[in-house]
Amino acid sequence: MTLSHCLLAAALVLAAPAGAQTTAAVKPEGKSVWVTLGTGGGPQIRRERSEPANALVVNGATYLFDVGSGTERQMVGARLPLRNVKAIFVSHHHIDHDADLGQLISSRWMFNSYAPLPIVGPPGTVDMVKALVSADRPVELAPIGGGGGGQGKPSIGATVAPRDMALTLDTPAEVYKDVNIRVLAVTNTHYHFAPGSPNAQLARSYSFRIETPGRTFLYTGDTGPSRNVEALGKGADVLVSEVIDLDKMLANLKRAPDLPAAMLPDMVAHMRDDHLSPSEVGKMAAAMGVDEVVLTHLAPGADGEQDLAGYSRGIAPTFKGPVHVARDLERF
Amino acid sequence: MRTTILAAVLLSGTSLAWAQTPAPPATRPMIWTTLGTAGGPVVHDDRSQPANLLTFGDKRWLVDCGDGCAERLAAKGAQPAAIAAVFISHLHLDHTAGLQGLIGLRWMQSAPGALTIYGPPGTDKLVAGIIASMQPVAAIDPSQRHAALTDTVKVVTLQGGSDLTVDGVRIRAVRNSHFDDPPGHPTDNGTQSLSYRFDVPGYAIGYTGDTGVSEGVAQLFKGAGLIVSEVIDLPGIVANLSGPKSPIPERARPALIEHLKTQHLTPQQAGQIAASAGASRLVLTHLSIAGPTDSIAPALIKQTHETYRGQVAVAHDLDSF
Repeated sequence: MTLSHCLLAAALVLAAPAGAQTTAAVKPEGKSVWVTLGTGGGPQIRRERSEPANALVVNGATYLFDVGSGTERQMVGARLPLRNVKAIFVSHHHIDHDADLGQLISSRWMFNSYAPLPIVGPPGTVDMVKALVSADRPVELAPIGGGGGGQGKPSIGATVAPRDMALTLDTPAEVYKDVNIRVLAVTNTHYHFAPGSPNAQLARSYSFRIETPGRTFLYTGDTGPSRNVEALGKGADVLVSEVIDLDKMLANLKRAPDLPAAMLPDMVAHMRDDHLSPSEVGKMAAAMGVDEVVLTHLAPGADGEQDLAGYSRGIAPTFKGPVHVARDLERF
Repeated sequence: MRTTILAAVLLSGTSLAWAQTPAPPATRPMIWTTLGTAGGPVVHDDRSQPANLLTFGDKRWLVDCGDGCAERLAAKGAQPAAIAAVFISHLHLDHTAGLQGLIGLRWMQSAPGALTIYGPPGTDKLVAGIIASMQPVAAIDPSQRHAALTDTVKVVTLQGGSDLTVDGVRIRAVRNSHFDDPPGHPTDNGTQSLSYRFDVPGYAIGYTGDTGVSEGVAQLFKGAGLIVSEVIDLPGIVANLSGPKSPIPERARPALIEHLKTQHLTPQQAGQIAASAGASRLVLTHLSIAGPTDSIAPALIKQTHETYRGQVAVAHDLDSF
């Protein structure tokens, strides 16, 4: 054991007493549990809802679905050790969904988890991870406690295994499988660039179907209504969906003091087409035949919001099962 | 079209958050806020990673930017877009890991102007890597409201002896003893661990970053009114290390304890720095302590008073001084 290992281990020891309070333990082994680590949607940092991040815990192994800013802190709050993370999935390249990726990669390395971590995302993910690894090279080499400088440790780059998903997945395709879970993905409708434009060639957003022993989850990521997603979710047990309260969002927009009126129609179109209203979530849930719906990535999801009914109103006419408007660190 | 989601989401609160500039108390020309008071790379839910906010006039600077920095900033009513500059003390992950989110979210929030990141040698490579990591999103989201990535940040490399003035604040850096290997040592990669002093006319703040006892730091802080120091509860931590539950093999303990003794500061040593500076106030942060802050703070303060007669505070996240 090198000195740097010792120091880190020591830091862990130091942390143990402070971490003894708060929140429930992970559900018993054998059950799969979905944890909404961060339930806010969009790049505005909030006090009450952290940036988009989710953890699926299966047989003690943790799989992260989107890793927005604050993910590792939220994992501490949920009592999910970083060393148990077996893979990370990124739904699309918007920064609210991936800003903690560098921290997770380097922190895992620092605390001596070296097994190459699968990081599965849209095209560009391999390049992104390579760049993050190069960003932390100076950190990797910085002396730690006289014996450090990464001595005796593999490089950070050796501890990650990033993969790009195919550019277009109009039918469900397997993108990951291990002893605990099987993950299938499709491309969805979060992006609406003009057909043939350079952006339309590149921009892809994905939804995931995660099959675990006992329960199957459908995680929408960010999307508008999508037949691909509907097909992916057929027969799933739990739909974990993004949602937008369009009325509340529009009211906010109209109140905004510095918004040019000419921009409003364009914004309304984006909100309508690239995200899911409650009634659209309900239709999707009914078509999939899921047992329950978990709503996350709440937009606007602002701090101090009291009335959450706008996120679920409109689901009931089409979907009769239980609907949960998730809070941070809630377990399903 | 891409512009719209960003603008709309930004507007989804009551107003643009970075337009809200809470007036700092008029009594001091610079306000120091401890955003994250943890020490070391372990992520806590009650003490966020090392990060500080320096506020003066309508400016906001960060001093160190550990993971969770953006969330702590939001808890103070500010968004990443509000930050104009960051000073990094040294390139340990607990002091740098918030930069990816800060740079990325600032860009996504269409923040005005460039963020200037000041730090020791290697900071340029760190920031270049973060910018490169954003190419996939920039390629699909070339909104007109977004600046070109490379225009959103500027890096200024500092080292021991650096002396510069930015927006009326004089900043001086010294190389401290946190990385005390001699030049040429296998772990010497050309970077440095820095302590900073921030001066405006009539008022100065000294920030130790991470350091052991260091003559250069003591000299730098002479005459500063406020000292913000790291601190380690050495007996508590050594007891933990030496206890029955210690994961550290016995043979490795002496070297580790030696590091903790020489590359960090005890309360008495922090007190000596403040006393030799002639400072009226000392704030302890970067708390390397084995337990909840409030259970250990009284002992830290008592030990600090063995060497220092001024005001001593053990910082909590979001405290302002």
